[in-house]
This record gives sequence, C-alpha cells and structure tokens, in this order.
Amino acid sequence: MHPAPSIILFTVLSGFGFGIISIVGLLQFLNQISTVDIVIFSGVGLFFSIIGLISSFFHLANKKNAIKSMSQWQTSWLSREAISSIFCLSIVVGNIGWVFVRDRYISEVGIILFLLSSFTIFTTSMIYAQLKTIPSWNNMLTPAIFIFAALAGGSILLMDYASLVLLLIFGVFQVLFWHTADQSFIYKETSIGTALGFSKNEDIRSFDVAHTSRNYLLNEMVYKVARKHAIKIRYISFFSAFVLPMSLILIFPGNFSVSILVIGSHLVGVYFSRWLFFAEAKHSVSFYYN
Amino acid sequence: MDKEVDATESLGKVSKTTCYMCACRCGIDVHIKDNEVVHIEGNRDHPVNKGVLCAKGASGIFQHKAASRLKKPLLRVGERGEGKFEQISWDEALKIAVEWLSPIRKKSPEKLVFYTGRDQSQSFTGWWAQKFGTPNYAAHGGFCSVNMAAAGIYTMGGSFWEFGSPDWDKTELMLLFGVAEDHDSNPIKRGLGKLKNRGAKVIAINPVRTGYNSVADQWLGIRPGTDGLLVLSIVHTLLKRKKIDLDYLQSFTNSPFLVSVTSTNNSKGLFLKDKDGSPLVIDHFSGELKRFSDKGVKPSLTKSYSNDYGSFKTVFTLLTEKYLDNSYSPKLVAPQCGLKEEQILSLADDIATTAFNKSIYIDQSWVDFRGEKRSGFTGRPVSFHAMRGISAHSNGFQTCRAIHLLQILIGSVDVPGGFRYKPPYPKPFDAHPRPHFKFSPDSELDGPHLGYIGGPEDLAYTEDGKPARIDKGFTWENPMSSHGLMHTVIANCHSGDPYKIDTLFLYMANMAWNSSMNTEETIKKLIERDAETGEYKIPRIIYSDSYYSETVAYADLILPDTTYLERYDCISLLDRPIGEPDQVSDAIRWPVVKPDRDVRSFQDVLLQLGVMLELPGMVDNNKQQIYEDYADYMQMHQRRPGIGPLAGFRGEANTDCGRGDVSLNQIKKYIENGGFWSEKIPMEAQYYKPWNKAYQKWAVEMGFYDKEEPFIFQIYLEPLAKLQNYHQMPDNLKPPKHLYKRIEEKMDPLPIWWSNHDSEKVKKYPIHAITQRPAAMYHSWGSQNVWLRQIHGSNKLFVSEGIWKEKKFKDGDWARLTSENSSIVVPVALMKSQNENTVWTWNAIGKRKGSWALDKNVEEANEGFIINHLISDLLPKNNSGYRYSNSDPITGQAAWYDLLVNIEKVDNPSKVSLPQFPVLSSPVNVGVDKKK
Amino acid sequence: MTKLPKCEDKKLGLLIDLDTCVGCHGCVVSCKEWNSSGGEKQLSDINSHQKDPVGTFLNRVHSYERENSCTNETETFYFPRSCLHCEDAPCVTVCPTGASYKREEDGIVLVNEDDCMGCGLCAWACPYGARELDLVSGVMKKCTLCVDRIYSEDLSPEDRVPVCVKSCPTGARAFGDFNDPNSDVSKKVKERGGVDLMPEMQTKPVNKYLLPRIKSKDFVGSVGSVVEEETDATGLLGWVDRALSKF
Repeated sequence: MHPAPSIILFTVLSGFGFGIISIVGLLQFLNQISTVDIVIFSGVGLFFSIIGLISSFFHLANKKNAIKSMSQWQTSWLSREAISSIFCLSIVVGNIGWVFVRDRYISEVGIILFLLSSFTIFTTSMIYAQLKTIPSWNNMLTPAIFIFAALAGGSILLMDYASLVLLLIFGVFQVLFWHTADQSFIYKETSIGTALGFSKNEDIRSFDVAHTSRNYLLNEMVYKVARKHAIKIRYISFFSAFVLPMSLILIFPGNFSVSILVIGSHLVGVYFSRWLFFAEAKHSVSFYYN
Repeated sequence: MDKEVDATESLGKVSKTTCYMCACRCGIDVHIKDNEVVHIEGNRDHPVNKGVLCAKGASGIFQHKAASRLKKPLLRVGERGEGKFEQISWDEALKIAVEWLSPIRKKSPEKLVFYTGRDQSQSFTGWWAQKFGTPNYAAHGGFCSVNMAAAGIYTMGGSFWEFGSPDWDKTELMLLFGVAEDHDSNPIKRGLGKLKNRGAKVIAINPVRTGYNSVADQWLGIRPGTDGLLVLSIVHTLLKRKKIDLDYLQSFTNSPFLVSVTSTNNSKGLFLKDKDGSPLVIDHFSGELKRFSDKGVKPSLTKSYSNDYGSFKTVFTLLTEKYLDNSYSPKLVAPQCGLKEEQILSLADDIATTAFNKSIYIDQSWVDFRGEKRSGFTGRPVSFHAMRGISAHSNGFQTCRAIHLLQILIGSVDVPGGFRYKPPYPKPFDAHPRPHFKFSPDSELDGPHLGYIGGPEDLAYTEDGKPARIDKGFTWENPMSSHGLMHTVIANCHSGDPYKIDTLFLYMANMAWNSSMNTEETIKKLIERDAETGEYKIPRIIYSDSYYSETVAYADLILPDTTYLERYDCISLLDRPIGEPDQVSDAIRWPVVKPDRDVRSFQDVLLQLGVMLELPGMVDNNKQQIYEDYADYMQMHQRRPGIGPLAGFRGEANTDCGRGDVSLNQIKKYIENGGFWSEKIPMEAQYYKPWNKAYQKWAVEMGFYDKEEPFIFQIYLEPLAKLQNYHQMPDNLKPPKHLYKRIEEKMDPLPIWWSNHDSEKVKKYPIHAITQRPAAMYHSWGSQNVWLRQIHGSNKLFVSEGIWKEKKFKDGDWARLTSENSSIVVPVALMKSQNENTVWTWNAIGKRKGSWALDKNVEEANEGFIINHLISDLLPKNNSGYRYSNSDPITGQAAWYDLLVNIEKVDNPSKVSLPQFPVLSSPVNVGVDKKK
Repeated sequence: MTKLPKCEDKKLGLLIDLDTCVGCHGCVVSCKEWNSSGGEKQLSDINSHQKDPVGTFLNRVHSYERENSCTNETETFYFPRSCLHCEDAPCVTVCPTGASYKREEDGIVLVNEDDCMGCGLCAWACPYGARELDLVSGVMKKCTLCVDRIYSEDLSPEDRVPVCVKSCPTGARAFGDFNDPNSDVSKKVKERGGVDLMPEMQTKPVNKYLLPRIKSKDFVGSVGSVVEEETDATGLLGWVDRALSKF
C-alpha cells in the first residue's frame, strides 16, 4: 500500500493523542493524577488527536462530504471511528472544563474516558484490520500494535515504570506483527491463480501490461518496497520506538526533559513502523499486476 | 434512483456514419449535442459490425478532437524537417499548388508523384491521378499486403483480407496464418466468437501467441517466413493420403489443363489452346482433345498428350510430381519451420478429416458455367484466413498461393463451411484492368494505373526501355506489383531513378516515421540538397494529413484534412468492399459535425485543384466545373453508364440497386438508411460463385461486371510461365541479365517456397524480429489518443525464453538489436509463448519528439521505439553488385518481416531508446487535459 | 445505506468467457467512452499529452501466460477485470458516508457521488481493484453495470445491456440475471462451470468467469486418424483415374 504521509501522521498522532487521553482517564479513575495534570495532559492529548484528525482530513479527496462519515456506524469502522473520536473528544473537553472550573474531578468520568479513548484507537485499527484484502493487517495484531503504541506513547510523560511495561508489550506485538507479516502463509489461500479463477497453484505470469500508464490502483495499492530497505527501516523503527526510549527511561527515570526526548524518539519510531505497515502491506489486487 | 437512469437523455441526437480507424469500416452511432460529439458506439444494424466496436472505434472521439489536428494550410518557412511553418489561407495554398502542378501537367505529367497512404477513396484518388496524366500513383498497398491481394486475385479471383471470409456459421475447422489484429478485425472477432460458441476448432499458425492466436485450440509457433513450406508439406501429406477433392479439381480448376513440358519449345510452360485461345483438355472418357468449357466434357486430370510441337502434361500431373517430392515430407520440413513432424501430420489429418468426413450438403439446385445442372452445394467445412504475417515476406506471394492451393485441393473455396467471397468478389485477374502508364504532356493517362498483368507484354516500360513508373512497378523486378511500391518512392525520387521528378504529393502516409523502411535514411533523403544547384533533391513536397504527424515537418506545403466525422466519403464497390458473403454492401461517411478549423476534406481539395488545373472529367468542354464537391461527385459521377461510386438507392425513385441512373437524393437515402446500403444474394447464387450461373447473372445485374465472367481457379499460374519465357521477348523488352536466374527460380507457375535468407546471414543474425499491431492501436494515430496512449504508451521487445536465458536478461533490462542495416537500443520483456528464434514488439508505438501534440518527455518518444530503422529498403549488394529492393520478387511487396537481427544485453542503459532524433518544432500546441 | 440488502429478486451481473476473449481492449475503451459521455458523467485523464498520464478506467484487460501442466505448453489468455457486484460486497460495508450501496432490486453495487468523501477505503476493501478514485472529481468511480443503459427508455430494448457487452466484438461478455436459473448466463454457468474470483475472500461475486477450455486436447494422438495407405506419384495418378471413372 502507498505509505501516504497524511494517513501515517493521522494514525501516529491521533493514536498518541488518544493514548494520552486514555492514560489520563485511567489515572483519573485511579485517583493518581492532579487536576492541573488532567487539564494540561488532556489538552496535550486533545491537541495531538485533533492534529491527527486534521491530517486524515487532508487525505480525503472530497472534503465537503466529510461530515457524512458519521452516518454509517452500523457497518463501517471508519464511521465508528469518526463518531467515537468526536464523542470522546467532546467528553475530554467537558472533563477539562469541569476540572478547570471546579478544580476537582469525577473519577468515574476517568474510566469512561479511558474506555472510550481506547475504543477510538481500536476503531482506527479496525479500519485496517477488517480488510481481508491485506492479510498482514487482517488479524488481531493490528489492533494490538495500534492500541499499545498509543498507550505506551501516552504513558511516557504520565507514568514511570508502567510505561516501560507498555513499551515492552508494544515491542513484543510489533515484533510479532512483523514476524507474521513475513510469513509466506499469510497468503495461504490467495494467489494469482485464485485471483483469475483458477486453482491456487497455477503457474501464471503477466506477459504484457494491461496499461503502460500508471493508475489509481498502481499508485495506491501496488506499492513495492525493497526488502533490504524495509529491513533497515525496521531496525531504525525498533531502535527509536523501543530500545532508545526504554534505555533512557531506565537511565533517567522521572526526568521530564529526557521524557520529551523519549517521546520524540518513540514517535519517530512509530512513524517508521507505520510507514512499513503500509509500504509492506500487499493488497490482493497486486496479484493482477504481478 | 432516477438520477442514475436518465443519463441517456443527455446524449443528444444520433447520426449514423462509418468508422475510419481501420479497413473494417464499421457502422457507428455518433451522438451529437450542441454541435459537439459526445458519444460514439457501434451501429447495431450495420452489416459489418452489428453493433460491436473495438477500442479504436470507441475512442474515435479523441481521433476527432485530437490536439494534433492541423488548423490551417501551412507553408514551410524553416528548413525541411524543422517543423517551422507559416499559416496561409486556402486561396494562397491552392494557388501555390496550382503554380507548381500546372507546368508539370503541361510539360511532363510524370514529374508529379502522387501516393496516398491510408486512403479509403482510392478509386477517386486514382481517377484524379489518371486525369492529371501522371503514371506515378498508388496507395499504400505495396507496403501493406499486395502479396495477399495479388496471390488471391491471380489464383482464385479474391483474397483473404476483407475480400472474403470464412463461413462462420458452418465452418468446423479454421486455420489462421500470420494474423494479428488486422484487416477485417471486427468481423473476424465476431466470427471467432461464433466458432467458440459452436465449439468449432481453431488452429493458429503464428510465431507469437497473442490475440486471436491465444484463443485458438491449437497453436503452432512457426518460424517466421516458413509458412509456405509448412503448407506445401500439408499438400504433400494430403496427396500421399489421397485426401483431395477430385470433382472440384476437375470441374473448377485448371488442373486438367495441358502444359507444354518440352524445353526446346518456345511455349514451354504454357497451356495447350485451340486457335481461339481456348484451353484444351483430354476428355477422361473419350480420350479426345476437347475445349475445357464445352458441355459434357469430363476433363482428365492425369492423361498426357503429345503432338508435333512437343509433349504436354496436365497441371495435376505436374503438381503431383512436384509436391510428392520427399523434400516436402513433414519429417524434413518440420525442423525448418521450428515445428515437430507430428504437428504437421496432425494438422493434415485435421484438415482431411474435417473436409471429407464432416462434409456439408445443401440441397439447393444450381447451374454451373457449362450449363449443367447440379443438385446441391457440397461443402468442405475447413476455412482459412491469412494476413500480413504471410504477405510481408519476400516469399509471401508464393506462400499465399500455396495456401490457396491447399484450399482448392480440398475443395473449400466458396463452398458451405469454407472460405466465401464478399461481393463484388470473386473477380478473376483478367477481368481487372491491366496496368496503364502511357503518359504524354497535357493529357490524361491511357487508363487506370494499377492492375494485373497477363504476361510480359503488360509490363510498364517506356519506349526507350526504362521503367515508366517512379516506383519501378510492373517491371521485371516486380512484375505483378498490382498495388505499386510506395516504399521505394522516396528513394527513387531522391536519386532521380528512373527519372527526375518535380513534386512529390503525399496523402496520409507517415513516410518520415513508421511507414518507411530505414526511417533514418529516408529522412535524410527528404532533406538532402543537390550539391550543384543547392535545391532539395526532391524539389517539392505537398502533403495532406489531418494531424501533425512526423511527416508533416518534411513537406513544403500542407493541406490540412478534416477528421472522419467532418467529411463525405464513399466506401465504394469500386474500391475495397465491405459487406458479408451473403450480401453486397457499401456505405458513406458524411459530415455529422462541421469543422471548427479552417480545414477541408482532401477529396474536396483534389476536386478544386482539378478544376483549377482544368483536368478532364472535372471540368467540361467549356472549362466549367462539373462536380461541386466530393459529395456531388459521389452521387453524380459515373464510371460506366449506370455505375457510380455508390451502388445503392440509384435511379429516380432511389429504388435501383447496382445499376441505375444518378440521383440527387442518393446520399440523403444513405443517411436515412443508417449510412449504408446492402442487398442479399439470392440463395441459389450464394455458393460456388465463380461457376454459378445464377450468381454471374446477379453480378451482371448489380453491375460488378458487364458480362458474365465465370472463371476457373489458377492452380497453375500461366502469366508466371510467360514471364519465365522471357528469352522469347525481343531484346529491348528482355529483363536485365542479372534477373534471369531470379525469374527462373522464383516465378514458378506452381506455388513454391524458398528461404528468405542465406545461411551466411543467418549465422550473423540468427533471430527473427517482427512486429504486430496492438488491437487497441492500429495506426500511428493511436499514440495521440488520450485513452489509447494510456494502454499502449510505450513498448518493449518481447524476447523468447531461450534467448532470455542465454543472454541472462532480467526484467528492466535493455538490449541492442542489430541488423545488417542498423542498430537500436530498446527495453526487453520475457514472453514464453513465441517461436524460440523470434523477438517481437508492438508496431508504431514509438513517436518522434515534438510530433502528435505530445510533450517531448512522453514515454512514446523516450522508451517507445520502432524497429523500422533496422529494416533496409534495399538488400545488400549481391554478387554482381546490384542492390535489390527488400521486396517480394514477384509483387514488390515490402518484406517487413524478413528482418533478421542479433541481440545483446546493454550494460548500464541510459533508459532511453535509441536512435533519438532532434525535437520537431510544432505548429500545434501540446495537448492539455480537458473534458472530452 | 451500507447494510447489505438481501437481493432476492434479481442478481444482475456479467459472465465473462476467457476462452473467447482476444484481449482487444474494446470493452475497456467502450466503458470509458460511455461513462465519460455527456451530463455529469466524467472519468478524468491527467497528463493526457504528457509523461505519466493517469486516467480513471472502470474496466481493464490483463494479459497472462499460463503453464498448462497437462500439455506442458505455455498458453496465453486475456482477463477483463471490473466490478463483480458481490453479494457480500466489502466495499459497501466499509463506507463511512453511505455513498457506497448495493441495490436491493437488482444487486448492482453503486456509489452515490453526492455522498462520497473520497477516503478510498472501499477501494482498499475490494479484492479485485474494481474501484478507482477519480483524482479530478475526488469521488470513487466504479462499474455501474451501465445502470443508465439497462433500464433506459431512450435505448432500443436490445441495446439495454452494459456497453461493454454490446461492444465486445467476440461476444465474450454476457449480461443477465444470475438469480434466474433459466437465464442464458445461469445456463452457461451451469453448462461450462462458471467460477468465482478469489472465492476465499467470501465476497460471493455475482459476476462469473468461464475459464479457457482445455486446449490441445486432441493434439497428440490424432495422428493416424485418417488411416490411408500412403502413395507415390504413379499410385496417386492411378487412383485418380479410377476415381474419375466413377463420377
């Protein structure tokens, strides 16, 4: 799949934003956070979520109809995401207002925020995980990496050692995801043979292109990244998303300015992870263009 | 939901006219709204396409609205080939043309050389040239498929191409030779669909398995240029197994004719005839010598005859002796063709089994040419079709003849299930005109230029023994060049051989690019100046085209043509027919929209020039204009009394067919009828047309000819024997000595095969390189088409698996292809299903930078390529130092597919195909994106 | 509504015969032509005369080589690809705006361009590459089964078929109701074994394909079916003489 920056930024930044909101909500429920921190960090979460959502807006080819995306919650994960994020962000704003005005908080609202925000991240992940056309996405590791990337990122400023645990979980899921995506069995049923109505193991190749010009499908869905290049990016991603953040947290626990550095490194790592998430994903339409 | 269903309302009114993209000439429905063409689809009522339409036809809207359309007459201001012009008015343009042409006509009309390329009005342009008086006229047939046409007409009065078709509803086995997307493409596609639907068998013989070949039940990946050998090997096998149609051979062919075999005899190789010139045969039962055409004669196929003048054998005996020779055995033939022996045997079996075990009988009495009543039509349901893959070789004429021989031996021509003619064919060669070439100042030519020679006496030489035509057509070098030799014209004009010319006048022929052999050299000839006078060696070039093709830049005066939707045209029975085997049809084009530019239809312009030049036929005795314009000519012109360009809706009431008075309502009637006219052939006349009284009578009624012209098939082609008897000719008419051997070897009156290459050449250049036209892009026109160029915007050289592995090619590699003539650098791709000694590519995808209103960075001009550079118009010097034209020695057909190359991988390619040429300046702007 | 309806009445679709298709691209261009004709219907072309042209097409024809394991021959075939109007159309259910829908009355999958926001998700959900986002209009384009032809009162009844079907020169494309067991398409599917593309995707395509028939089946082995003794010239001429005497 074409690794479009608008989509990558959307998933990374809104994930990070909702991750912060989830953690704030969790801490609020557990009464482990000050009112000032609620306001500040909810604000930070809000900021990144909205930047992410705006970024996704730029991906739309016909922006004037974006509002209609709230209408199909019954079947569409993208619709659910739109509704859920707006709903969640409204509660965040309400919560901030309440806390700001009253200087106290309702801890039960925290659990609602935690669940709703995590659900929003889940809906985002399900936009991809639901697609049978892309087997490397079409499994529960996709929600796992989305949710734990978000929670880990969101926890860095707010938690100490707990964030190490979240980073570790994310790291494990990420490695599992890459491992799974690399397995040849991922296309266990689909081949150029089945794409053309034959059986799986037919020896078929395209001898002449269907069209010499590129088209939407080739630009969007038949993106190829060199294997060597991809492996290099995986190392970069793994190092900056996990290795460096975890090391820094262990070496400089509780250091705020180091935490900013940790977040930066983590987000860069997640960005590369997402870039690979798209770039390495093989869509079934590519069989037609083999 | 309403919104979804109302789109057809916006399509405006429908005008029915005729497509122009290829020689199919399908009927189209053109939807017009606010004087804009908005949609084109197939005309369901039209006999040619019955509503279907190909990619080219369906994208006609971009043919019509092409950015590359010329907008006004142009006069060259820069050097030839730069592409710099000034726009002038039509008055100026016509004045200049007349200033150039008028003195030529008055003094030496042969100094006008007028060749039309993809002209669909050849009966008109030929007539104009005849009235002008130049012998130098032809269309592009000489570099297209004259082998196919000439072999068909000479052998059986009609060829494949669009002159006939398989009996799609009844045939059980169809053999396709060398056919890619080509002439008659939609009818062939429709027909193949029918065969597939019925489960009839299709066998494809082609070096490359694409298109039609890919749906064939069997495919024989033959080595290019060896089809003739394969066919004669099948003939050998059928003779050995006695699987031939004796009744057919005896009744309808010249196989019982008696041929002189005495070598001391002056008439060696000629038929035994009575004093009236009527061929004699031996009656099988009485043993007496009789006239073939006499009633009650049962000619013997085998009995020999001798008299005081020598001995005679039947054609059939000669044929038997020739083809039973072991050199035609499948075992020896197979390796030469790149096939297996079993494949040839199996092919012969399929043909024999289908022809004789599945024969058809239609219970319909008819009367043959002897006046004998026959009770029905016997059918041999084996049909053949062949096209350019066969004809574009220098052994193509004989190969086409070999295929016709095979058809005739099994009795499958114009019979149920076999190959059937489309009216006005069949028409034997001697019912066609002879070539005419006698010119004199200020007068018209003595007759139509192109035709069929009966012997050396019809060759086109002037009184001083020089070739009369600039293309040296109808000379000993290519005696049966019935379509002329357009591919030699520029070279001969340039060298002033056989004589110097003044003006080269071309119409719609991309001679500075994909329509020339040796494009690079051709371009040089167009721009070279005489060292002494400083003038161009080809002094003046007038060119008419609708578009800014590569050739426009090389002309001095440009007459911009309309598009096909803006003009009148007639698809005339005097020209190349449309229609179907069971009906005769013709059609028109008419201006369904008006031009939005200052352009004029070429035919109108020719008539205007004719009036200004005061050409006979175009002005009357008082120098008054006869035809107002081409539309007027279409209705009012008569070739013979009652016979005009359009056969339908003649007479005062517009009810006459074929023959009838002229009518001023004729075009209107055509338009009302959907742009075409057709008439069914009576059932009794549907088959066995050459010998069928009912058909002959109907054909005379329709005006195809003026008296009944029954004829028999020329298995043995006597005109060739006459050519071989050259030693009888007076010395001044004898061929040049260096041709003696070639004439003796190649002009065999029975079909033969020879290799087009000597073994030395094959050693150096072991690989065949050929092209095919993509189905979606027939002509160079396609590249300017916004939609089609997205499908075929660049091309690759398809390499067989063996060569691919041997040269260690990978995807994305580039190769250098070298021939005797030149070398090119091109991208390669693997294709397994092709002959192992062959590489191929799509034809005419590569474009020159600056042409066709395309940006200079387009794929067509950078990766895309043409292989024309590799193909020389002249062969290398032979032992006596003479350079023959790269053509069939009999017809002069350009031998495009004789090309041999070697191939090597290019390391570190620049990813641009070579050679590249300077960017042409353009009088039209690069096209911009827009709604159509 | 992106909830998939139960199409109990009609299931309109195409039957494509790969044994007959010669890869001429006639359907590709006819489709583009019809769907760019007049009104608001446009399929855009960008860089139309420049390098890298990109245009929207709703139908494409691919060219493949296949190793036939029965005959050890390499065969070629052509493959037209367009929307299959699936019963379980994933492109419909993923649509967030409701622009993508499947009609209950005939099963045609359509896009209501007035509702489409151009997110492209439906194209991602389609296994077959049947949808293309038009870069000029910003909305998703796809095969409509020529819904503006098949019910059009302005066209003659025989022309009320998708334009690709009408224009196909070989007749490799057929249109009909796959829900009706007596329709021509249903009968052909039964007779020749129509197949689904990527059945594992569980989209239940309505369109069906007929695969190339087994070729060359009687290629080897038919030798000798004409059991005639072979003859030389003398023998042949003698046979001819005897045969002619019987006429």
